[in-house]
Parts: sequence; C-alpha cells; structure tokens
Amino acid sequence: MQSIILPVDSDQYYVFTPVPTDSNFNANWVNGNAYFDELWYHRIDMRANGGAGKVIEKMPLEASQLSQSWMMVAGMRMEKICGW
Amino acid sequence: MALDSNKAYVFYVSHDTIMLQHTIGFPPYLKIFAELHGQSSFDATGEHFATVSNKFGGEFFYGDFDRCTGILSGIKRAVAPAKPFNAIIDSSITGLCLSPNGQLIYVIKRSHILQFKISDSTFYTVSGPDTTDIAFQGYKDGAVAPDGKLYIGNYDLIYKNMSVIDNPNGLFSNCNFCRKCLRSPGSIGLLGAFTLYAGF
Repeated sequence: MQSIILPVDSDQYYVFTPVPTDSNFNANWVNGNAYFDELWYHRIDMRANGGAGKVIEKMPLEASQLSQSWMMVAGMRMEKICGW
Repeated sequence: MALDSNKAYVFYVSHDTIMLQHTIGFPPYLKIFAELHGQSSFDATGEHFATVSNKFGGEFFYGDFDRCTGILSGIKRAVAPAKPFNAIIDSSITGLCLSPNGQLIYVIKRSHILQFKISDSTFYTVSGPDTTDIAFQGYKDGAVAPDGKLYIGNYDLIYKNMSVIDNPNGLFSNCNFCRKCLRSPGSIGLLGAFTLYAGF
C-alpha cells in the first residue's frame, strides 16, 4: 500500500492515501479483513500555520469505482513532449 | 491499482482538477484481503512501469508506459526465485522499485533483496538477512529519493533506520547496498515505510 504526495505549486501539495470506510472498518477490522475501499485526496497549503501547513480541502476520489484501492504511483506527463 | 478488479486506475491530476482518465486491466492477482504489501513504480523517465502484489509465488509485472496517453503496454510477467539460503524468514514479496534508468527492477522480499535485469531476465541477490534470523527485522518497500539513492524500509515499521542502495543503476555489487545506513538521529522517531514523493 502506498500514499503519494504531488506538488500543486511551490506552496501547495496533494496527498493521496487509501483508507477504509467507517462501515468497512467497523465490520471487518476485528477479524483482520478490513480493506481500503476509498481513495482520498487532501490539498495542503504549507503557508498556513506559520509554515506547518494546513489541509484546505479533502475529498474521496471516485469512491464508487475504486473499491479496494491498494497501490499508487505517480507518473509525469510532459505537456511539451506530448504537444499540448 | 485496485485489488478486487485487477485494474490500474489512471487519474489525470492538474492544478485544479483530479479526474479518472481510464482503467487498464491486468492479469489476475491472487485476492488477499488485509494483505497490503506491494508496490508500483516508475523509472526516472516515467516510461517504464512495474508492479507487484504480496503473492507467495513471487510474481510481478512490468511494461512500458506512454506518458502522453497514460496507456500501459507490453506487460510482461516474471517470477522471483525463492530465497537462495536457509532461513526461517518468510520469503514473500513486500515491495518493488525500478532503477532510475529503467533497466533493473529491485524485488524486495521480507527475507532478502533481488535485482531483476530486464534485458535478459536474470536475478541477482543484493542482500540477505542482515543479522540472525531471530533478530532480523525483514525488508519492506523501496523507493528512489530525489538524491538518486534507493531507500528500503523495515517490515514491521518500528525501527529507527533504513537500508540504502547508493547506486541503484549499478548491477549486483556495483549498486553498493548499505545496511541500515540511514538512521534517525533523534531519540524518538521511527522510520517505517515511506510516502512516495514525486519529485517534479
């Protein structure tokens, strides 16, 4: 399982992390079968709190389609190379 | 990657938008609920991709990635050999990382670390247990940091050090594996598996 940090600009970052929903956690954690069925993103502004940072937005991503999200990796898309 | 559907979900992320672009089907994985070891990885160019689940058969996949379209192609399967030494430590895969030049795949097992040379499908053993079986923490997860070095965490995530590969493009002993060479300087603070930071 992985989480990812992606820079938005010099001060803001996205943090993506898979989590179990509350219902899944409550139903399955005790028997060790709770899986990560939501993928959340958090937008963080590192200028806030005197440089300590603050989550300014957070939301599940396409949760209905991403049951048991598991591993993530970020690739780089190059607008100049792709001719955009 | 989604465990239940065997699909890779490709998201487009921009300054103000995050949207699902498309999905890519993969060969079947073994379903292992609550078994969360495994990694996906790109090389430094973003043109080569590899992924693994914690499957006792040692299976992993690799292929090419088109950065413009987000399409994976030429997906190949490989199987890492069992540990080449006698030890009681579990030999299942706990992580995977492509070398920056995309020519080597580091297959990280709990018991040892392998290099897989893509061009001729040869495996090299980089490191086995770094101490006795009883005391050995086990390896887990690996990632290339912005300094170009590959850092490898510990299995149960409660230790104050990580192992380091100084030259991850180097074959076999030329990669320069350094046992527990990243150490937390403070009296508190544990170095577990790490969050992937995309350095661009």
